[in-house]
Amino acid sequence: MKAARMQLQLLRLKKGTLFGVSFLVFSLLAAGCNPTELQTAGVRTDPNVVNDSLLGKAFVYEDDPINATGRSSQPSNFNINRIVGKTPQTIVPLSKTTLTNDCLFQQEQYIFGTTSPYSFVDCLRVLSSDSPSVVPLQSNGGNWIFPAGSTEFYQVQAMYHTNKVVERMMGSMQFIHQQLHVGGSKSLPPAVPYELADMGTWWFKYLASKSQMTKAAQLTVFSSITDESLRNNAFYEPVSNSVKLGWTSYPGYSAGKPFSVLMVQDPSVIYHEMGHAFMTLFLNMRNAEKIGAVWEPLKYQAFPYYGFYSELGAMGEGIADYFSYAMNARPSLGDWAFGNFVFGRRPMTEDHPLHAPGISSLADERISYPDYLLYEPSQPGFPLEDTHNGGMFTSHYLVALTDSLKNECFMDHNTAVDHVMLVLAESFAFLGDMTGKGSDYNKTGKAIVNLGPNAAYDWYYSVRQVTARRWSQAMARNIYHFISRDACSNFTKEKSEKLLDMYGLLLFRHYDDNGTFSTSSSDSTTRQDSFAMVTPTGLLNSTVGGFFSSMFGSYFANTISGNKAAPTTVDEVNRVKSVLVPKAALDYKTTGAYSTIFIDDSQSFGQSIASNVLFQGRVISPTVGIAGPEYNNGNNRISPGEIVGIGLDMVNRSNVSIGGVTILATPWAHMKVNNTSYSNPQTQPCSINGFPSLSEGAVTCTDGDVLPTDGARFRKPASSSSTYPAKALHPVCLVQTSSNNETRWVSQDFFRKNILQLEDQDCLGFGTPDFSPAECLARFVPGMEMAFLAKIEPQLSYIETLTKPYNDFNLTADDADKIPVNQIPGPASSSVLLLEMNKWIPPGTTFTCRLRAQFTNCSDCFESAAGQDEYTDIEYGGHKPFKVLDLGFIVLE
Amino acid sequence: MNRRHLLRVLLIIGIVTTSIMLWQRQQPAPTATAPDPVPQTQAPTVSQPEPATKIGDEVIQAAPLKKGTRPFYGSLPPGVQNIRQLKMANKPSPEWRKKLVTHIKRIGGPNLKSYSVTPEESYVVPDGDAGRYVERVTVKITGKKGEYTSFFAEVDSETGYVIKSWGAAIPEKRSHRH
Repeated sequence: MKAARMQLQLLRLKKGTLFGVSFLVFSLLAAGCNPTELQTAGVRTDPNVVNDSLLGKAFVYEDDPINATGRSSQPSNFNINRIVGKTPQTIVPLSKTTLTNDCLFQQEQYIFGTTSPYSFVDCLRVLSSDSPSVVPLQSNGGNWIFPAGSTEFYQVQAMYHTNKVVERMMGSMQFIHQQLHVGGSKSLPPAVPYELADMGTWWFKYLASKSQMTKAAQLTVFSSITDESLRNNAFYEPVSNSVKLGWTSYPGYSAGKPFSVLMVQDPSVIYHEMGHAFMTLFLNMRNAEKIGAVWEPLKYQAFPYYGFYSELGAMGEGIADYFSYAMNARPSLGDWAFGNFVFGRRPMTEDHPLHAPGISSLADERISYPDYLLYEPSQPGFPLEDTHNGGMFTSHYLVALTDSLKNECFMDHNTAVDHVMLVLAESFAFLGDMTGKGSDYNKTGKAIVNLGPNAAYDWYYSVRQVTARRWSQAMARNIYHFISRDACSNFTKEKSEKLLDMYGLLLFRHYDDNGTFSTSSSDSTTRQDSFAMVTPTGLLNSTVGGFFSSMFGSYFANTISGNKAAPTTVDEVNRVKSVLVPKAALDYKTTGAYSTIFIDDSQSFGQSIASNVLFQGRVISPTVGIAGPEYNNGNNRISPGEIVGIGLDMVNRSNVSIGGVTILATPWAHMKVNNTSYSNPQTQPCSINGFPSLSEGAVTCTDGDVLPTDGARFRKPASSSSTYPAKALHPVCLVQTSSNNETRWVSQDFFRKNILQLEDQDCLGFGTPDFSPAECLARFVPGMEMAFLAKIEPQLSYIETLTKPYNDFNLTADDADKIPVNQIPGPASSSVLLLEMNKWIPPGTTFTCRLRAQFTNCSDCFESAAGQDEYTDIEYGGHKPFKVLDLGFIVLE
Repeated sequence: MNRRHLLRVLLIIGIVTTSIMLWQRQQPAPTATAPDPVPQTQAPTVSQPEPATKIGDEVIQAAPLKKGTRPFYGSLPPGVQNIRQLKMANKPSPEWRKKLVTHIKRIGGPNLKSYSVTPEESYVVPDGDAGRYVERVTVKITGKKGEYTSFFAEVDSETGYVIKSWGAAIPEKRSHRH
């Protein structure tokens, strides 16, 4: 009875507490609610500006000389004055006396609605050059009107167009946040963080030093061009967070003449470069951590470019093109700056006249993956491996998606673009997440992407790169949950899948929307998922924080912990054009590995490749003294001490093209560790696809035996009191040893100790943080241990794919028309691996390096069987998602 | 204190907390100021914007661990309770920058026209069961044929060895056509 009275008392108190708090909340909300103080997202208003005043304003051109006049302007006949508008436009707020601008961001909150604007003062600046002494332009007596064609004039134009993109994107991001967290139906926990404003990742936080919110996004305009690096060039530079706009070397231009064709004259180029910046921002939306009371950027960030050719780089170009379309609704880029002068302008719809015959908006005539990866509109019969060409499937798909939303959902251009930006931002926030959490609402403490914070750099940049498959799957997932099931039910899952398929992008069997834990097995009997889309069990009362859990527990009711859940499946009827190919189709040439590899062991090669790679932003670190170009003998064989370029001219045995071939020589889990001691580590190779055989010294390994949960590498421990990891990623090359008529494959560490008696200091890589005695003799040089082959045509090799059309043309062309051999594009540096060999290796020693290969439209690289879940991040540390390429060679004198 | 008193105290805490949260929301919009682009003689004033409303109760991590004056980023290896117990795999040396520059010049070869290495931050990262002193730098290079790029790199504080690099400039210049 006493207990019952206590319960009653408690209930009354609880009721009283709830009532009191609710009353207080309501009262304060009512008192504090003043809608007039909230500004529309992305719109900067200044009550002091008088409409008919020129203060803070200038006359601007809205478009490039060709599109503004509707005529084919040429450098010889155009006059920039003619395209400058008659109505002055605001350049910066009235308060600004220098050419800088502010950024405003507002986000939505549960209950409380829109926040006051978060502002970042001077987030944008335009400078005439990147010289340290250059300062922003001063206003001209309060306005920004300068003589047309002057350096000052172009700086003002650059600010106008850049600020236009920024305002547009700030508005989009407010919409994205609101739709994902507050307004939408919430059938999938979003990756875009709830506390976007507080975190500061709505702007370029990734550039910050610790304890510094960010630097300004500094746009540098080169209007007085002298810099050769900007000939036919513009770029986005993350290090300085700047967009640099160059000039066009048009036909007839000669040195010393004024540069009349400038990138800044073409706003589509500005929008494109800002697209790279915002894609980078999307990728890093989750990459901050709260330390003390301050959100700090993670020490590694996700960037949209790996150097050279890669699918992420190619898609980045297509997405940046789409930013131009988002701004001007015109499906072509660079009509003026890259146009007729250098044949570089790019269309974004199939109906564009620049496209080759046979390309149209018909379902089976679209710019589809992988058919058009090497397509160059200005020379359609001749393949070219380049990120800008390779990304056209992306821009065409995004424009088509926008059009579909306009037609199916009756959206205007800006609304449709907002929804496309939503799925883009959500996709990249997930794929680039280096925290591993994948969503604020993942309260399990387990990673669901990029394996986890310790391994995220390796997984994002090499082991599990963002490919067309991963991207299109993320897009499909987000379209389904945030558009088809939410904003527009007319754009059904079926329509979405059919559209993806027209572009060859229905490359997956399910949407991977069950959030399988990164360290879980994909095996159906033991798999563990974090989300459930259908009839979840074991609901986790999960929201952003415990305080709100009780109020909003139902918002993401589908978040579960550790139970199996069924992912949303693709309707196979919709897969018509997206052809998947088994990994067996990727093969060596008929005579095996030796006929497939092309080796360059000339002395000049070692130097040129290192320099070439450096200018792509990667620093290779070959060993000094024990190997190097001074040992290269140019005999096209692998000899002791050499540093050798190895290209794999793989063949496609199938009858359809394969795209996005990635070959990894990075460490992976192919060895079983028998002894972890510092002084005497012992390992045995796992027998994979029968190699090595058990009689050759191999053992049978299970995933549980070898896969590390943290991506640890089998490196020499820092001190003798430490041990090697029991499960780790091992260097790829094994060495053969023979004794008593018995042949065995052993680790290089075993061979160097027991056969060669080499000390650590005689090993490759000694003294580096990554030193592993297991690559003492043969070592793929860090920075060049991955190769990319954009596409291989059916029944051809990679090099044949790139060169055959040129060679075929030359067979029948007149001598005068023949394409010179030195102008036929061959394999790019990105297709080459760099191998260094220890000078102490005895000639005759036999190696086998176990490389791993995968391609994007692979049918059996991503799950063990149809209907099974996809391989998880941890399984990418092993062999299952890959075709293992055993590359054998004998070291010759 | 009996349960009734305890509940009253909780009620008061609840009211006060809610009031503070709502009061915070009424504060003026947060503002951050970017550093001035002209060469600085003093540290730029960059402030972290205060949140308009604290809505979460996420676990706030403690201030970063420090090894000497350097922050430690990451998790301490298993078995290491205190950063003072952390064994270090290297020893900082002022020579790291010189060694890095030598390396860049060596691999850049005769085509390298100019370079710059700008230190950004010195810190400590976990390295197996030890720690490693590292530097984050930005590198900019130009070539004699007009090539240019820049990137971030994480460098060993003793040897200047480049452990990781990322964030290369994204060029618009395209592969050559015939």
